[in-house]
Amino acid sequence: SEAFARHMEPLLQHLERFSEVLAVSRTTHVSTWDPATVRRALQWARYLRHIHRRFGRHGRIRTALERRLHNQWRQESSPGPGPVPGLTNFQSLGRCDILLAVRLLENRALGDAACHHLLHQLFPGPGVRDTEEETLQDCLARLARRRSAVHMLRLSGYREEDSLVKTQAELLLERLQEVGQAEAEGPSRLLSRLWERLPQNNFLKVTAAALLLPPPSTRPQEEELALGSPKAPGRGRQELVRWLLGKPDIMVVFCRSLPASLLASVVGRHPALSRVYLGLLTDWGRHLYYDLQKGSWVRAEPQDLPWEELYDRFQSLCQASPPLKDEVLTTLKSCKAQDGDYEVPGLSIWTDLLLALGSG
Amino acid sequence: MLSHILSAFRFDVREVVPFCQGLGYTPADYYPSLLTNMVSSLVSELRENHLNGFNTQRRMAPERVASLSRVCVPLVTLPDFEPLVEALLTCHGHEPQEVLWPEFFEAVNEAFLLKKISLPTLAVVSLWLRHLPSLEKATLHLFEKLLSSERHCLQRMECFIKDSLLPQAACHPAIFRIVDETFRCALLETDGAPEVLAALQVFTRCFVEALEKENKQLKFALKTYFPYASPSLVMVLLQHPKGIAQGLCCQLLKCISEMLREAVEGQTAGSHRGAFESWFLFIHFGGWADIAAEQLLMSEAEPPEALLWLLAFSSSPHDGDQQRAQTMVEVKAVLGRLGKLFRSPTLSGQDLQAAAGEGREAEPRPLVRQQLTRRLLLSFLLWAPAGHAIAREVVTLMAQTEDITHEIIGFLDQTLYRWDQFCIEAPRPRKVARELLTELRAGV
Repeated sequence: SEAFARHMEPLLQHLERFSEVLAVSRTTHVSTWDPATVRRALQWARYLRHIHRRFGRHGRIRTALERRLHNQWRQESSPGPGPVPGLTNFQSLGRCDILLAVRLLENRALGDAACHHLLHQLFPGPGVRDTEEETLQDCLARLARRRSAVHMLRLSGYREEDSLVKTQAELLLERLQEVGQAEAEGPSRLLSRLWERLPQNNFLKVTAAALLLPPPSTRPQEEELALGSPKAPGRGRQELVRWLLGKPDIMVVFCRSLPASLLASVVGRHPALSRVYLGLLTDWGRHLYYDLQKGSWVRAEPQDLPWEELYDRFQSLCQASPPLKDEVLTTLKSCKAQDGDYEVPGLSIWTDLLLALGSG
Repeated sequence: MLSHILSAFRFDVREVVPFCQGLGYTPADYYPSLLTNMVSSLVSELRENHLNGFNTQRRMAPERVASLSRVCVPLVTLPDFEPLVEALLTCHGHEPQEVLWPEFFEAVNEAFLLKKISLPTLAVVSLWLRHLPSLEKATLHLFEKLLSSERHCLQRMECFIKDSLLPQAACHPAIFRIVDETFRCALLETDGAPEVLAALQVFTRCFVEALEKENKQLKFALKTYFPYASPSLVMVLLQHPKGIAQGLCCQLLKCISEMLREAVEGQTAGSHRGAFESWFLFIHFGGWADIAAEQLLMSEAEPPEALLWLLAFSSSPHDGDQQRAQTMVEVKAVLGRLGKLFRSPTLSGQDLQAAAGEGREAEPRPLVRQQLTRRLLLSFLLWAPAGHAIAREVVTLMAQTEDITHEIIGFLDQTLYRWDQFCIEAPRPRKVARELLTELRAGV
């Protein structure tokens, strides 16, 4: 109704203005902020958190706010490397003060006076805390401890590669799930955007890790992470598979650049992907020809997959569990039959591969 | 502290930032997850190390385990680190020497004692087995707690004792022996202070309970817990008096008395150490002495020599034969007089004082015998049908000094606790004891 819209407008404007503040808070613009600006920004954040608490169960207001937040995120994040959003859904309003505080704390451009004021506001010391401040203060202190812990572990020579990838994979699935609930095309759009913007090697590793995460999320729930959405990473994985299948170019890069054993595990879990992978492998096999002088299979073009890698990939697949292993051997054997079923080496790459794999 | 916080926020794991932020996540979202994953990967590495030892490819070098334990020192109280702390404590490498940093043990122990960390019992046991100073500290910490605030409430004492995890940990003989040794020293230093005695009895109760819970079949022979005692005596003492028939109870007491007497008198003359060891073993299960007193009081037959000896021995182990015989004679006389009054329908305070023999002798009796008489008198008040009516009067007469008041409070508290432990049905005596206790406590 009109009355409702009139009522909502100031609230939505407030929300928009705060999003702007949030966007600015991680830029060098904050160098112009003085203590008063910091105080005002924190007050806005507290007001929004109040809104979150007050209208959490109020369906219409909640929906209106949520719609605005969602549109905002889409607009902001469509083209270019624009500001990274933090307010993605209604739940995030409940911790927008933490969001703002963390961004400002992280921002080295914040002037000394403003920074001092910020710390003073966030950690007023004992005696001046009310319950609300306490949660924010404890939350920030805990986050600081955790960040320090991560750094201390890294400094002590911890090999974190796996954990880094796994964390990103978990977050990816979570977000895919959430975006998928809001809009059917959301996941695929998000993935394509990430693919364009992020380092591809990392993206592929994360994707593979996400496809390998065990179905029920065993990760303990963190209070900061309790976004209120039901966790169903299974759906996120399906979205990932669907997206890969719809992007043949990306699938080629995926199968080309990841290690053989990792790929074997991934396609072992996702039969739809294993068919495409096998198709690609046989394709790549056909590009090799037998060099009589060297007595080995060599590439026709530099971008082709060398024999060693092709063999490596087939070997990893053959170490998988029966259905996949059988499928791989059947494919190889039928390719061999198509080539003329030679038993002598050097005539058909499939004969040679089967021999090398010990299944000739 | 503020600058620490600030610097924590200005570090970043560059590898994950673009991706997580591209997804719209903030550091508050991904740092906790990252830490959880880092911790769980370290935990599985340690477990693998533990299970497969030298055979694993991803073997964690001892230096790495050591440095990891060092990194943990300031972080042990972070809840995210609990699984890692647990794994470090429970997963042994295969090195002959301890690889974990002593500071790590100290930090974990400190955090555990201050309840800033919650660890499974197994991990705590492992901590104490691997680092004795921590065990000693935990034991002293418990002692301080027990003796400072809970000296007159066994129920609360029991809570503290169980909460300390020491009885559970003591199922491991090495830990039991150290805790027990601490009790022995405390008893020797305080000359058998009643609160230390009470604490030892409650501790032993909890320990036996933990032992029964852990396994019906004893994993370690009793000999490993009580190396200086005769195993058959320990077996009898360990029996739970609950559910033992009256007649059998007397038999058991006689049996205990004879075995103890044999141990004490079999020693070469003047060997205090032997007498003390036997007594120290017996007072772990001190409830038996109180049962003996009740038995003697309520039986109409001639008091058995063995029970009298047990009573005299438990209250004063260092007495020579002559002193002990004198105590037994006196106790027997008091029992004889009290026995005549036990069934009488009406009683007065004077009757009882006369029966206790106060003011009979010219010179004051030794302290121990006075205490023993008071115990018999209190038991009488609780059990004799006409005792209830005059209980308050007699107790007021008895409680002339603060020390005696504390002694009476301790006795009543211990009696109630024992009845609860042994499920003794005694509604009337229980009520009287509770009322007296409340009144005396209020007056202290």
